[in-house]
Amino acid sequence: MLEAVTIIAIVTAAAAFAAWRVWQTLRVARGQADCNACGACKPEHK
Amino acid sequence: MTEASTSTRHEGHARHDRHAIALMGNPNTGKSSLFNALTGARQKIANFPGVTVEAKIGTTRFENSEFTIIDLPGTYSLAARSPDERVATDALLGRIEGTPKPDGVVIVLDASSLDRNLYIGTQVLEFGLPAVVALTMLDVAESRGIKIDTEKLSKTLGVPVVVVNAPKGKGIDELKGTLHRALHHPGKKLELSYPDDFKRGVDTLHAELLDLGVKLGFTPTRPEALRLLVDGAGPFFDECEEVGGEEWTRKFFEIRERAAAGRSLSMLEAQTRYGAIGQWMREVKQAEAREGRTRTDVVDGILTHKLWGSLVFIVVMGLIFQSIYSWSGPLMDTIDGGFGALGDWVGGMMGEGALKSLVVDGVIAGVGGVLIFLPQILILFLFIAILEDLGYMSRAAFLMDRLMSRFGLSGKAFIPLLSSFACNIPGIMGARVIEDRNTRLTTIFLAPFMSCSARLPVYTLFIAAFVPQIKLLGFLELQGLVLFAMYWVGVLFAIPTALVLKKGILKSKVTPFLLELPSYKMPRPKAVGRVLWERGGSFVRRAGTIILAVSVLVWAAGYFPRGAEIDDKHDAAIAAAEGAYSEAVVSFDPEADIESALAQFKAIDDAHEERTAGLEGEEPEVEAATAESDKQREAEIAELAAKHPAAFTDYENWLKLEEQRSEIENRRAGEHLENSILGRMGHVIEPAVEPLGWDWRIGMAAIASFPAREVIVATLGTIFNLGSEEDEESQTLREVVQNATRPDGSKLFSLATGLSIMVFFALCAQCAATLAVMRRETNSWKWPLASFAYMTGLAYVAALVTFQVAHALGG
Ligand SMILES: Nc1nc2c(ncn2[C@@H]2O[C@H](COP(=O)(O)OP(=O)(O)OP(=O)(O)O)[C@@H](O)[C@H]2O)c(=O)[nH]1
Ligand SMILES: [Mg+2]
Repeated sequence: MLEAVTIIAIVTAAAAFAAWRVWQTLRVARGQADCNACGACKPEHK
Repeated sequence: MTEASTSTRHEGHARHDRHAIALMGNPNTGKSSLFNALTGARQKIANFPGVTVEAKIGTTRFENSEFTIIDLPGTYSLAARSPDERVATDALLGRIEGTPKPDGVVIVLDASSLDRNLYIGTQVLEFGLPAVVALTMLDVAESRGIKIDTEKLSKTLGVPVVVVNAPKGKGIDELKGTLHRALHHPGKKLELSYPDDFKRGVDTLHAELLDLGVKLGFTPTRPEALRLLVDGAGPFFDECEEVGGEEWTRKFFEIRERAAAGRSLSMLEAQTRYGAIGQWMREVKQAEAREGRTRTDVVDGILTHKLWGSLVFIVVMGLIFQSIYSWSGPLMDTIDGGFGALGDWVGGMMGEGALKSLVVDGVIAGVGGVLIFLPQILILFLFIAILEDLGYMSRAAFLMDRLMSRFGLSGKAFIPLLSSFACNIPGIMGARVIEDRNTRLTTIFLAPFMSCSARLPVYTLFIAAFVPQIKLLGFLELQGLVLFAMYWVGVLFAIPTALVLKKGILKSKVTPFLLELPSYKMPRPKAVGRVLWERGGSFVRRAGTIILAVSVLVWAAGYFPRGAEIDDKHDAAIAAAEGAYSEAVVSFDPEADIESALAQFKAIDDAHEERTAGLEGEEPEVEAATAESDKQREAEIAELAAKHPAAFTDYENWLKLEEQRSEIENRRAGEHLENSILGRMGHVIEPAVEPLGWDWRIGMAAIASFPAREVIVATLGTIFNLGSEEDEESQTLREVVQNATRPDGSKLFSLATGLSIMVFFALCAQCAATLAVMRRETNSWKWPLASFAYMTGLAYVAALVTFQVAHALGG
């Protein structure tokens, strides 16, 4: 039971993260965010 | 903005004592270096023009004041032609959203080519903002025998001059102090003596603009009028045209015609500026007459030579790929071994079940599979960082200009394309330095064809698995050579694509390419180290975020649903095999101590395994040692078998049982995978990927990699781990790939399959971030969509042809 709950939690978190990344990518497309894929365009501060 | 409003602004700011300061100057003069030194930010710095293409903001303090520093792309003139130059001009006028209007400027001048640098210097000084000149590269100038009298320069220009060397941290505090003073006691505005017609034109236009002022919503300054008069186009012109209407436009062109008086206005501007600069230089600059050609000239002569330069280019590139291969091997093995051990350890601690599978097959196999490629990524970036710092990029661009112009591209497109080998995204952004819209779009479209670092893991995995480890001519590793060839695949397809685009929808004439060759600089170890740290860090971060997430999702899709009937079937099969075995045991002589004899046989096997545990690879020594140990094992077994014949039969039966058991477990895992969501989807797409030599598992792994290419390495690890039951020591990803079989037992991968996968990954548009940035840079979904469709189609066809040809040739 505990195992099932843990697995559901992990998979849900992964799915949520993936969805957030899709959203983030769309923001990049609209010019509202840096993509941060390669680390070449660094954010302004350390 | 009038003088009055300037001063109110200043007073307003003085109360909070915050000032916005723009860094303006030619490309590659050290603006970003200065920016980083001032603000502690980590903007990209490299030794070629066109590194910075966006305005970036940082802050620094001096006593009680806070400076907001704006780093800008370098530009040769305020008459902006390319998008990055426009950013610089717009920023100076405070017309960029989210970027404050500057209260002062630091004019960054490269002392080693002061004349040319002063061109934009005079343009900025005319604006009359409080300004300080930061004189960079004085060390370079001095090494060339150029002396600059900074005091005289300061007097001539009417603004303070501070010598800085940002990479060495020199002059930074002095610059801040001088800036602070200049903001509170601005110097005088620079006045150049333009021809009378020209000057009158500017005045008349300025008056007209002031009339328009109310409608424009701001008060245009005289320098702005000058720019508008000379450039006769641009966003400011469009604005005036919009509010002023036809009437205004007609008047504008009349004024222009009168001011020009039959000559070219931009020519007049240039003559005036260079006239003044020439005069100043006679007083300020002393250049030792040098005999003959300098060392730099000689080196440049070779590096930009049609034949020698190309040769050097190819040798340098070849060397990089050889090193990626020969240096990364041991490091990769260490990481690989580490993850293998981690998997075994964690697996040993957890009870059988879904959670263990998630951790071992999903997370460790997935993320670990990607992380083993970190050494190669670092080596690639080590070379890139060194080449960028050295000043070689511009020479290569110069060399390629001739070649590129044949494909309708200028050498200006070369640097963005070259940086695409690191990552396509900065390549696409770097295309902002290209003035011509169509050339820029072509460059953006071509950038993803360049093999970015995310393709490297795919290449190296399949090359390591299927390309034999042999040396050609005694020193060229075949594997490194194939890797080098993979990088050319994209280039070879980019060329016809460029030709079609430039002849078709993106026609444009090739503009002459003016590129300055920066002076050679020793790569700074700290800067190179920083690049490695950042790139390595972002690779690891990606492995820990997006790749982790995809691995977990692929695992879940490949694990569920668990068909109970599959388990029942295989449990029954195992029970049957075990039953048969125990029956056979019972039939043996009960007198003999079978159990302990059996244990002795097993001990012989264990000893053999222990002897060969560390032996891996295809080297002759390894194979000899393995064979030796095997012989020993056989001899020992034969000896024991003679002593205990009954136990030997039993031992053989036991071996058979073990084999049956692992066969059944493998079949069970395979059937579960086939039955899973992933498997069912896989069977739908299988017909499409079959002609490429792939099965559904490779197909699904490739599809899961559309968000980011390196995901394939993770998904392959996860899928193949799920699809087989490994009781013994875990295999490395390379071994997994080498040993993977089809349901009929035949090997899944071959050289032909490996090549087809590599070609597919070389050409396919598998990177969501690249497509997003393409949309941003072109401001339309048309380009990313076209790129996606075209590249994916091309990848499919090319992989198909590769597999069929390689297969036919027996690969
Ligand atoms: N020798 C020497 N090198 C310098 C100095 N200042 C900067 N550099 C080097 O000059 C090169 C260019 O520096 P950047 O700061 O990237 O130049 P930039 O003006 O921002 O260039 P763009 O962004 O292309 O406009 C780098 O290799 C720096 O290390 C200096 O005072 N002396
Ligand atoms: Mg810069």
